[in-house]
Amino acid sequence: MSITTENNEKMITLMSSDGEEFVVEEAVAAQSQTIKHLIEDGCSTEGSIPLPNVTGRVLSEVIQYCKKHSSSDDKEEKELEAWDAEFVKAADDHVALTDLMMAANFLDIKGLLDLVAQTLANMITGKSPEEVRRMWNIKNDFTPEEAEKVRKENQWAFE
Amino acid sequence: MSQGDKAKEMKHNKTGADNNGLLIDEAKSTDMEQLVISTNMAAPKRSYLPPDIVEEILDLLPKNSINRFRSVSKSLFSLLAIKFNVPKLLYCPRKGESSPSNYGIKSSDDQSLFTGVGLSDYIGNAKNRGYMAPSELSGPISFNSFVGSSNGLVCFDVTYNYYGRSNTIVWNPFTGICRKLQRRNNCALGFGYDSASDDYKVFATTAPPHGDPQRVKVEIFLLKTGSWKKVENPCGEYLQHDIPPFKRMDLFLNVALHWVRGQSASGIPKIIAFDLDKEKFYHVPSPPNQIYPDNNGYCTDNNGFCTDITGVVGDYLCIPKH
Repeated sequence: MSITTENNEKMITLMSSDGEEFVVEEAVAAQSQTIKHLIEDGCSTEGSIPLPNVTGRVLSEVIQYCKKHSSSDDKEEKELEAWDAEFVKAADDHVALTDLMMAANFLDIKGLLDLVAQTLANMITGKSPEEVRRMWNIKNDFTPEEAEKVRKENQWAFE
Repeated sequence: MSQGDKAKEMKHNKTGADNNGLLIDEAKSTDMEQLVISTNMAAPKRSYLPPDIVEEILDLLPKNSINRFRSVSKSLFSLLAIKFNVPKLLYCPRKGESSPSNYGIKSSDDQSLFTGVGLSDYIGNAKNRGYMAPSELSGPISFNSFVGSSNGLVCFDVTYNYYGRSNTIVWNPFTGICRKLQRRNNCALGFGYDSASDDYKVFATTAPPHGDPQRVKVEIFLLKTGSWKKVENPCGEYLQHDIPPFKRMDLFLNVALHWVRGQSASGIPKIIAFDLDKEKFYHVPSPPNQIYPDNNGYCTDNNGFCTDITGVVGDYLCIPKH
């Protein structure tokens, strides 16, 4: 389904995994390489583009980002950086950020992927292995002997 | 923007507001339930770190925190093992090779990393460029030879003047940490990384001048076990009378140490390699153009670099063409 606005801007409908529909300008949606390719392949003509990996809540955040980044030009780089910083701060929770990063990865939006990856990297820098495990429910699958071996290797390897 | 579009946006702003705060975590726990890989009751939040994005995050971590992440889990450990975020080093011997301490090392971006003569020059230069000097190297030390470098680790051979004792040192210039190996005497040494066992190996061999394969001895030091082991039958069935005396340096590429050795009956120097994984010598076919050593047995280019084998660039051995 393609709608055209007064400005002659082509509109695209995106559908989240939980059935929410988002109507956005094609230029905004095309920030996502995945969607861009779907449009080019003609997948958007028969209706909305389904995004089965992205929930409505995450998709609305992604669209916010894409809108900002499609409307800004290079001159506003500083302002854009500040906006990005605020944007990830608003989602300042590693669970929300992980979801956002997964969506950016699936939708192939490099700027957003890099932004969120850096935020998560900053978040875990300085955290202990136990804290990192807790954040993402990672199982410590080392046996005590293996853990000791890693500890010994670490002593001379990196750090 | 159309009316419908505005309405849509308002609706989503509202949704966003509803999801702010603690509610998010509640909702997420349910969403993520089936994806959770372990249930840790002490965890305040349930989430899951998808493999698709782990690498992207690890790439951005500062080097000094990589260690901690190695101990998180086995999968992170093995991922980090292949992700040493350090430049590969390679090296070129300089002209006038009477002293092996003339070797310079070049980093893969072709900026000279360690240049100069002798250990103090290397270390001084390395320090100037933000690398860490080798720890535990104090007192008067003579530099004997540069052994090799791999994945950023550097291996060299020194003698402690006071004790008259020699050691082979593996140095991590990114941390300054060293491992000191008991030195094998009268040996040619080599250094490389074996991805099959995920270990760094120091190679030591003695070979008689005329290469009786029965008398070639090879020992390998594994950094993981911290000990030397003897290699049985390193020559295999091949290489009859072709084993070199190994006085010259080697080059490390693709799990193997490489040498260009002397002249065979056909007058063409041969390339011999030692596979650090299979622990066997083998022949590498020479390039179609002949290599001519000078009177001293070295090939040099106009810049004074020994072009015996010039170096390793990417995945290639570089050999001069005349």
